[in-house]
Amino acid sequence: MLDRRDFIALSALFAAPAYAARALTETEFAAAEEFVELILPGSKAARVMRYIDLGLAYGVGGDVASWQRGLAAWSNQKVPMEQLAANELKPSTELERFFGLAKRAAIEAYALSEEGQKEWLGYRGGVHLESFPGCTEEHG
Amino acid sequence: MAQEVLDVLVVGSGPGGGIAAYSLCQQGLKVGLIEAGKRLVPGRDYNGHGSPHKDWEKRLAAGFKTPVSKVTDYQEKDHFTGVGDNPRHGMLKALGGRSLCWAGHTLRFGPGDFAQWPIAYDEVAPYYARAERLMGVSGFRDGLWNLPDGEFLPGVPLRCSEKMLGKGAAKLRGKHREAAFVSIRKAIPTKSGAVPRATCHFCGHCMAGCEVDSKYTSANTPIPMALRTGRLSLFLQSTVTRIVMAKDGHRVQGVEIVKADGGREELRCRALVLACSTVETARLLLTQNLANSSGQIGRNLTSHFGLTVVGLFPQVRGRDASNDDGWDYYHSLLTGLYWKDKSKKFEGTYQVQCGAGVHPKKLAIKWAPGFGESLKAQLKDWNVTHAGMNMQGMLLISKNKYVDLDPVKKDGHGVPLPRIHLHYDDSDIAMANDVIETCEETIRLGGGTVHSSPGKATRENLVIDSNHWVGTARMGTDKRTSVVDTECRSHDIPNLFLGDASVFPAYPEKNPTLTNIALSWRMAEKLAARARRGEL
Repeated sequence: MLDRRDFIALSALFAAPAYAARALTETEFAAAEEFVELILPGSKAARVMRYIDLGLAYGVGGDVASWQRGLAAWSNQKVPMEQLAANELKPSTELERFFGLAKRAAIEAYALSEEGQKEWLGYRGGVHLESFPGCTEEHG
Repeated sequence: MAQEVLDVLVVGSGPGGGIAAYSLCQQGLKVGLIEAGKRLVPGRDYNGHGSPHKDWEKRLAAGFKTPVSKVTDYQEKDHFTGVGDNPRHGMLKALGGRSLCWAGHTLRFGPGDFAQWPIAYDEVAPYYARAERLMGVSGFRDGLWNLPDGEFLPGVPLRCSEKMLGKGAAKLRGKHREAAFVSIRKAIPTKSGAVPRATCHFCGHCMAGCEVDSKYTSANTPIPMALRTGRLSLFLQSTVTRIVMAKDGHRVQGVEIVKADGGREELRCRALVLACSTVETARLLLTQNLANSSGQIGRNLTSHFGLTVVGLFPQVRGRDASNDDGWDYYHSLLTGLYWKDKSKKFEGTYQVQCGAGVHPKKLAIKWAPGFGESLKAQLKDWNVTHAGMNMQGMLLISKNKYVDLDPVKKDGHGVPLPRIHLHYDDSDIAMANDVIETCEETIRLGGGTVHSSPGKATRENLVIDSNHWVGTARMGTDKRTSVVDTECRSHDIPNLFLGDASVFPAYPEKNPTLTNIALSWRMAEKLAARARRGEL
């Protein structure tokens, strides 16, 4: 029988290693997780920033400098999200531009995550179907 | 030792080249099929079933830039020069060419369309039927005169928002507009045992490359069949750099290829079939100014072009949206518009490809205002209830669209790059504005609201279809105004044949691949008949 100490030791062995940010610094990564979670709740659990940071590290999905400038602006200003959202169609500040950038990246990454697909969108596809039923309901 | 002379060399293994190679082998000829790319293995070289997040780091480290493994026609870089209104040109160097990443849309051109051709629908119809049987085409019989029914496996039904568009189209008809709303037809078998390929399992990855090889490609059907005859030689990773003419200058003697190791080799043949694509075939011939006594090579270029209008149908909000994958995004077609109506203010015709549903790997609507839970709810709702309408219009053939050679830029083998000139004409703009009006009206008549629309077409917001180019070596009976005869044989060089869509003399709104295959099959039969008569 495993005692509690053995169980914890074994769990640690099999647990996913913590992600070390590649493009952003650890501090920036933590701030980005917080910011993106406000935009799209559930992003942190879905490891959205891990996905985004990996892309940035490989030069995919935007440039690191824009994220760094945006995160710096966010840590200095802490403008309410309502205000950032109100100006998103005509952003005029660094932080407002960053809101749009982070939002686009987060939506894409969240939709690609298993959590986003299942819990947010209710997606149950990607499976073998014998036939496609199409719309089986009558509407308006 | 004397060099082997093959009966026929076919350049390009896409839809036209693959079927030509098969037909020629089947008729007893020894054939060489030349392809610039290598063989890709479905499921290994492309497989959209993976988890984007889990695979992301592995894919980035391997140099891929997309989170989902797919085969695409836009990874080839710097292979053409674009001039004008943002022309694009898809290319996929691989056995099977762009048949690996086509959507599978399989539409016959109709009698009305062939009225502008030197051959009639009845001449091509038997080849359509044969191609449909070979390809395993699924669809419903709709009874439309200018979108003839074929030999179909069971069709695939519409999603809810598409049905609402269908209701809108029915009301358009009530207002005396020509309009039909039908399910799309695809070269993907829906019934087991109909063709020797896997039956579709409705994962929706058709255009990203079908990882179970259910969708028809040249690589999974005609080329293996040709290989089984024992008469096909494959030359993979071999690029044709030059057509070698006989000393008399009137007949093709072979081609020069550059192989993967950089070595050059001359292959000999009795007849040559070019099936490299509309743009590449023109480029190859223009490089040496061959078969061009008419001066028409590169001219008469056309494609499809379009824009997108999106509608929302709140009536379908409560539907089961758990699996909308289906047959890729587009399941339906608004068609029949202007087949007969002469009141239009533009040349040509258009159709509208329609799709719907929640597709997490490629969300149709990726933005909603705000943040937090309300943003999530809004985005989900819009994706669940939306229907997308994508115009596919015939680009007017005019002096403003053509292919020539770039006077400066060359490829790695020293061959000039093709230059694609695209300048939309006023008629194109007028057509696009008609599409916007018609799509918006269809959405409203179907009980929906317009979510997004260009509002007004401009040269800047139109998008050219990079894979539907046709027409740079048009077919005709007059050698002064056309490049090939009605058998797709060069007027100038009697043993040169064309097996791609460059021969189309006119273009309707319908997707080109089935007609390309039917014509190339017909060309191969005529060519083989000449071989039997000793005319090669």
